[in-house]
Amino acid sequence: MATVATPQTQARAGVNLRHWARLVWDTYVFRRLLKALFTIWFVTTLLFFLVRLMPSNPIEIYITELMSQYSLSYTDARSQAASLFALDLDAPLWQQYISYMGQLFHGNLGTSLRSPGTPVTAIIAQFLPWTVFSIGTALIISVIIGVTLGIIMAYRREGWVDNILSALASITSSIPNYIIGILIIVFVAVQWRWLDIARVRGSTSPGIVPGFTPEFIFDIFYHAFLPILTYVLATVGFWMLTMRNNTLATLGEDYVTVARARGLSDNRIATAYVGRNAALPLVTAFAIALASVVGGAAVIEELFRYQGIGSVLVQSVIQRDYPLMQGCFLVFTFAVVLANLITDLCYGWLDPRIRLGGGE
Amino acid sequence: MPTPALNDPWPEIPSDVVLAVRNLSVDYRARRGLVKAVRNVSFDLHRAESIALVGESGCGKTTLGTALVRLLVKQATIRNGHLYYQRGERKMDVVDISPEELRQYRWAECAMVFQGAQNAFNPVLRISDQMYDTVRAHGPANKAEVRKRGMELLRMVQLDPGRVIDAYPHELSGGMRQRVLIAMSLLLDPQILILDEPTTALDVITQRTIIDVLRKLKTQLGFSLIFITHDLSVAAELADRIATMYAGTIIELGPADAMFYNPGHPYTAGLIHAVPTVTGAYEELTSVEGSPPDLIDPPPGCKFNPRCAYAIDACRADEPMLAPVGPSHLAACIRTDAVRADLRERGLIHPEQIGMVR
Amino acid sequence: MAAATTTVSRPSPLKAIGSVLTGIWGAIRALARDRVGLLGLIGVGTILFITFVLPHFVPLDDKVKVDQIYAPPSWQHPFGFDSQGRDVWTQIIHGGQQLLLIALGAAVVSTVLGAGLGGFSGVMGGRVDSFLMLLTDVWLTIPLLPLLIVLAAFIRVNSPLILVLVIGFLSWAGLTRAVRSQVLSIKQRDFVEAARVLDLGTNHIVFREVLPNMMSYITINFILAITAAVFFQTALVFLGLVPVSTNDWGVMIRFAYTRGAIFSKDSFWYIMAPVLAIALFQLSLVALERGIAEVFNPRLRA
Repeated sequence: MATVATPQTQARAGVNLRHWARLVWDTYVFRRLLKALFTIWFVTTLLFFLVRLMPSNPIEIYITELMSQYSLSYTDARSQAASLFALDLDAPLWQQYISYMGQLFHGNLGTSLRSPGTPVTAIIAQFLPWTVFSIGTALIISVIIGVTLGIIMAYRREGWVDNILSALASITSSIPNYIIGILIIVFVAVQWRWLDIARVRGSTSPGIVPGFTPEFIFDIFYHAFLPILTYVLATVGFWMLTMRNNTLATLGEDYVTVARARGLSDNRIATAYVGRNAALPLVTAFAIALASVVGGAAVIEELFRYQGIGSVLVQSVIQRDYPLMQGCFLVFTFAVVLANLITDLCYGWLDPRIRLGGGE
Repeated sequence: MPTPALNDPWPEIPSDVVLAVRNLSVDYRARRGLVKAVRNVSFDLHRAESIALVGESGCGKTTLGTALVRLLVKQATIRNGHLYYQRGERKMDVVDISPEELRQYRWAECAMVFQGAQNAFNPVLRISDQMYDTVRAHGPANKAEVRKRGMELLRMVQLDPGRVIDAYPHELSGGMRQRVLIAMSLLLDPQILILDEPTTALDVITQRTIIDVLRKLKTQLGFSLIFITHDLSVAAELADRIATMYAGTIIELGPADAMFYNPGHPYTAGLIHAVPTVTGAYEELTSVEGSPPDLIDPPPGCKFNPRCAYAIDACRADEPMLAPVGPSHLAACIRTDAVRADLRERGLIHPEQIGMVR
Repeated sequence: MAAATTTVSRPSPLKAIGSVLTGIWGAIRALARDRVGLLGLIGVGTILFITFVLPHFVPLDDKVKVDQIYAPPSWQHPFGFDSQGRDVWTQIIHGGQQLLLIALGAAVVSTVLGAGLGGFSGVMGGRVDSFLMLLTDVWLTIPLLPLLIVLAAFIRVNSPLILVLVIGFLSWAGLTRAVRSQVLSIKQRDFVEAARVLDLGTNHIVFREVLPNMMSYITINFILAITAAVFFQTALVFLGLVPVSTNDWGVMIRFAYTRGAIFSKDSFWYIMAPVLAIALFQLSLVALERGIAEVFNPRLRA
């Protein structure tokens, strides 16, 4: 035990401690990076083998399709398919795998089957911003509202405000997000007619000139309003309940009582002592929430006919546009992995215990 | 500085008393009813004096301690009583001050070190920042000065200041954290320091260090000390006076040696393993046989009577008041003479040793 | 080590069954005292009754009646009529069976998979554990609904069984991690330590000590797995990615959407009926899960 250590050994222990802390901190970052890379690798590999080895191999299906549609010979159809899928179908599997990974590494995701010649990356570049915009805005709104209400609920524990908000939060967070979307359409757009559902389809109004003009900014918010509202309603309950419970747990911590005994002001305690510690776990929760919101985007965008990457994914599956589908899915995974990585690193930066605690 | 209410004049309190507790009662609201956790407690804490509050768990000693800084849990309220605090010309009744005055009173006048310092620190702030927070809450503060004072205090509690001052709490061991908390409690030079079980949950060597540190600090800085413990050996080492609590009230209060060598209450005697129990077992006991009474619906008369070998009918009739049983020694027992005679006959107490050890 | 004395005695199987039954009865009674849990229990019970018992008494109305298109609700027809003049209420009664059975099946698959992998990982420890946990972490990162959508493109989901397997295969990871950490913490507790000291064997430790302690955990996750399976399944149906044969609640929503009924003011009850059915089922399950968690172990609600 270091408790009886002389000043000298304590000083040495101090140096050691800092040395180790730095070492483990480095490993923490390193580990997170490694895990992120592993996830990307895992998903891309999974996709490669799905595309290549499944019984209803999409490449073979496409080849037959080309043959019947354009009455091409098998060889012609095959070479055309190969170029579209960016694969050399004659090479051994492992070579195909390596070249596939190489292509991905260079950002080449192949070209779309349904609009031949259009690179998948171009389609993604066109639609992804809308998804990022709508989900990003929704998450920011949802976190701000949820955290604020969660703290209020915790401080008004068991009061009527807490009871009503808790019930609402439990209800909205247990209903599937597209059900919330349907309810929004039914009530907001159809029964109450607050919005013209036909006009808010798509991500912009036809003919509007993109630019930093008030009209354009209003227009994109107008079109994204219903998806954003759905995402917010579907996720805000989670933030409310999590923040409420975290705050309650933190309020019971000894250090909060001690802070009060120390005569700290209520403001200081609520922010630096309760708030900061209660919000810490939210950083990790954020990545998890993002994965489910991003996943939900496929249904929500389809429901509102909002033209983002989720709706492209669904359309590509319906039209069996494999390269596009693969690209969309990789973008989804990449976004979630990136968010995970960023939150992990933020967490390590915000919580001093992580640097010592290593991975677990 | 609050002026005492008209119908409640400031009482006669000797000038060397820093805190005069008068008829303090604390109730807890529980599902079954009101728990009378602290009942009519009165005592004076003198300047530079140390009082040990002893008693088994659930006797109300921690509640009393937290009531002194008004940090009771939500379910508890001070039903009646006064906490007269004085520092020179400043006088206030802590029970009756504004929230802001109370905030200023805490830590600057009366610091309380809670049981289990393991989690006493905000895990995401460095020790130096938490010290700065503390000073800043009580007035203008200078970061460098706070740091200097903090390091000085850390040295006084036998820690390596250079290493500890910028550490995060999790980088320190339990015993180190306990000492950091003690150092921090002295940051604002309070008149009173309350320690709740300062040594439990620590290993023996750390306990030793902390007791030594406390004794040294007390002579160096001259604060008054109230410490709550169930460990009588700690009480014997640190206390000038000992107060025994039972069923929410002080049943005996006297100089430490008198309490040990010539207790006036059978419960105190039981705590120092010197008394036969109801069942007549004479072997060494870790505590007094039987369980503490129900504080929602306490038995009539002396609350200790169901467990007391000396109880007579009169004990079951009225609850005895504290009465002198020796020089500056009070006990709430009508059977003191019988108890002492019996203990003396069996050679279990040694009044002649009072004053010889110290 | 007080537990040592209790674990040595091995009760007979009959006694064990008896104690399990009293345990379940006790749980139900405790659940009845928990307001939220009771509501959930009633909700789930009602929906199960409607989907599995009522169809035997109420025939499905599938006659097209042009004069009753979107006719408003009445006492005989509480949810009115659909776009072809068929009674919506009987569609609801008959439209839950397959949906719920698939969800239940998928939940069984993912629970068995998750608990098995988690238990295995926790018991094995070492490299196996590290690898499985890495895999679990990775799986938890992958957005599952897009993965399911992609899988639907490759796998011909033409039988309920395939749907059960695919959906069940998706959501194992959460439970795996939970069970694994439970196993790790239980491994360190006194009574398991005691069993090990007494040399009662791995089987004894796993089946008598560890599993009973985790039943609450697995039950709770099973219920949540049902909600996830309902979500995945209806989402797939809504997106039109699985061929539909029966007219279940998800299909009703899809048709209401694709045929534009959702955008018509008259079809309010036609769209609300399946939406309410799914929403109430999910809500009841979550409420039941809360109640069970509260009853089994208040500390679980962290």
